Amino acid sequence: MRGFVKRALAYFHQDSSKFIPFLFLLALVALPPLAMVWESLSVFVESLCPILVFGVLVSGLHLVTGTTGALHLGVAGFMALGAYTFAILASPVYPFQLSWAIALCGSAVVGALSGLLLGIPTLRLRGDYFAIVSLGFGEIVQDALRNMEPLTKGTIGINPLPGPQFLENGFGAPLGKVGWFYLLLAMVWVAVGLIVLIERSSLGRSWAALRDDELAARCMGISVNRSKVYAMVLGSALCGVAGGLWASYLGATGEPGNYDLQISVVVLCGLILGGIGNIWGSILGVFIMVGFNSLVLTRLTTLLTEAGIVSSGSVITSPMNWKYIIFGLSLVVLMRFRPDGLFPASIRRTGRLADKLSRDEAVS
Amino acid sequence: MTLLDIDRITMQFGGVTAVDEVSLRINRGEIVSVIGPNGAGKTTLFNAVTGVYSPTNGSVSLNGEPLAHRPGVRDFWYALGVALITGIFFPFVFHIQSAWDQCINALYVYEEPFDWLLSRELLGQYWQEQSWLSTWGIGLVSALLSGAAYWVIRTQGIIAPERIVRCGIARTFQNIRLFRSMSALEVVLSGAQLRAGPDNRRRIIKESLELLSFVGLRTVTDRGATTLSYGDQRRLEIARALATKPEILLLDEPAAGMNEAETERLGELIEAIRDRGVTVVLIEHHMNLVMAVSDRVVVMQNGRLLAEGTPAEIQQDEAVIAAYLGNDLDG
Repeated sequence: MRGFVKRALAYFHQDSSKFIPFLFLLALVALPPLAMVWESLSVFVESLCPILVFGVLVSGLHLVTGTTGALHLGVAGFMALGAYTFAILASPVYPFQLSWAIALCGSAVVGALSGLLLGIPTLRLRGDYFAIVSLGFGEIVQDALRNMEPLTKGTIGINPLPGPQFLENGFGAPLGKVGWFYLLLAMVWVAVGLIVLIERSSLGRSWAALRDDELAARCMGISVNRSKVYAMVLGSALCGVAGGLWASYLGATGEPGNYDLQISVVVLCGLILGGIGNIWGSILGVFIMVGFNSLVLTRLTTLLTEAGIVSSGSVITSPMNWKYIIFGLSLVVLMRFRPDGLFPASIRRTGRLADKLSRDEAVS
Repeated sequence: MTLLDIDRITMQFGGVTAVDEVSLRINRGEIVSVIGPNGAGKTTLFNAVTGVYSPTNGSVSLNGEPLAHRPGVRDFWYALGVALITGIFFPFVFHIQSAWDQCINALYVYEEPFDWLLSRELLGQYWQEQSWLSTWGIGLVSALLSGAAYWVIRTQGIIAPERIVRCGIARTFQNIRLFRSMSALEVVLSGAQLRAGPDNRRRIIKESLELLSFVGLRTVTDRGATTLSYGDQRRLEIARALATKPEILLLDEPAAGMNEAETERLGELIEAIRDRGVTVVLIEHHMNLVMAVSDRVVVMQNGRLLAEGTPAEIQQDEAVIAAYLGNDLDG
């Protein structure tokens, strides 16, 4: 335990772009108990749940765009595949009716497989071409799901979908708001932990190398295609899980058109806002991006309408409609003053083992 | 004893012939310099040897073994695997909708037990009702096509840098190409991980630290690679290349931008590398360095070999003097 704490301290040492988002994620654990004391906070418990799903989604995107630098515009497609896989495996309208956890694993597997199939031919493409292919993939998935009617029920979507059963068995009641909040938060933590561990490995080093300079990485014996496909498979699996969680949380997959480019772009903006290549920052970036939209602006609109300053029917004065102005403005400001995002990724260091070995060497 | 054998290598870009039938033999334990005016094709030669370009013609062999990938049994098995997967996957995708419609949507009633046996029977029936062409035919054709495509792509004699560095040829770059998001130690580790097994973290860190002290960068291990001084970045590139444990190291203008003192230390470093058992090939414009360290000097001009010999011979060679100073010596 002490070793773990020491290692964690070394990991965050003098690195505020990791530590601040870490503190934020840690503080979220305390939100539900605080909401019991202050009633006004309980709104956040519920409205943060979808954002937590986006947190899992951005960790999947981070594995492709953040680590290898390939611009990925199709995460919503993988999310849709995950959601529909989960729905087909778990919903009572189909005969499989697997348990929640197994169906979620199914989402991950389908996500990973489709990532593999898409990744092998397309990750060789340079720069923008991969972005175009992934964008197209996201659109094709929507159309395919809409048209494979026997399988996916077309535009109706699949419902009802079960929530996780493992708590129902113990307490006899379906998962409440707080339960969902903790479940999704745990998923975000697991995803982040996984990514931190992989990034420390030699695979993570390969990713960083080929993001910085592909030719030099190849000349150092790093197989670019293979490393990128690994990233794509892992990332797509996480996106699939995010889709499964999303469908399960909503209780329905909804129309395939819900998994559109807008989701991919919002998540990508969050990733860039938080700091490309820094998983902690990216998570917080998505919280800021989506949270601003669904929490701040909605609350502001309600407040202003209640105060009688704005009428709800007005297009121009309603803060909900300012969002694109604010997004655009903040992106321009961001690019001017913090081009690497709010929490820019720090330099990759080797950590405590290297310090220890070099100290040993100095002594001997 | 010949270590690297470059055999009549030609590199053409469109109509331009950058390297024209250059043959070069490099012996183990030598330091060979390649010199020549700008645009003579020195760096292109390096790129063709290390697989950055695939040469239009000619071959390179290391220790008598050609570097180009030759089709083998393994490629055949891979092609077969690809064919099998597509063969199974394609008919499945083709039929999943209607098969699903007949077996699951026809049989399953909401919240009632599902008859898996009957559904299997229906699936068999469905399969038999389809024409031979739309089931096995599609599978067979797609399998053949994909397997053949894979085989054709794989057996073209691909020369890839990641393969060649594995064989034991490492290089540095003319314009420094370090990884900007890494510390100096991590940069060396990114080279060292090539020869590491799955759990040899401790070993490769030790080796990399040793290499960093070898090139004299031990005090800046934790600094960002691109924040180092110019000379240090060049040394770091050498350390990264050495970390891949090469038999032969190709240095592309390592002294560019260095002052006299730094160049002198670089000369010592190159000799130390040779003493570690690594053969060195050097592209360089600093004549003091070239003449001091080389065992042999090769002069290139307009993509061809102009002269070859010991430094002393090259200094006397009239063709070389003409190439460097111009033909008209009297004027």
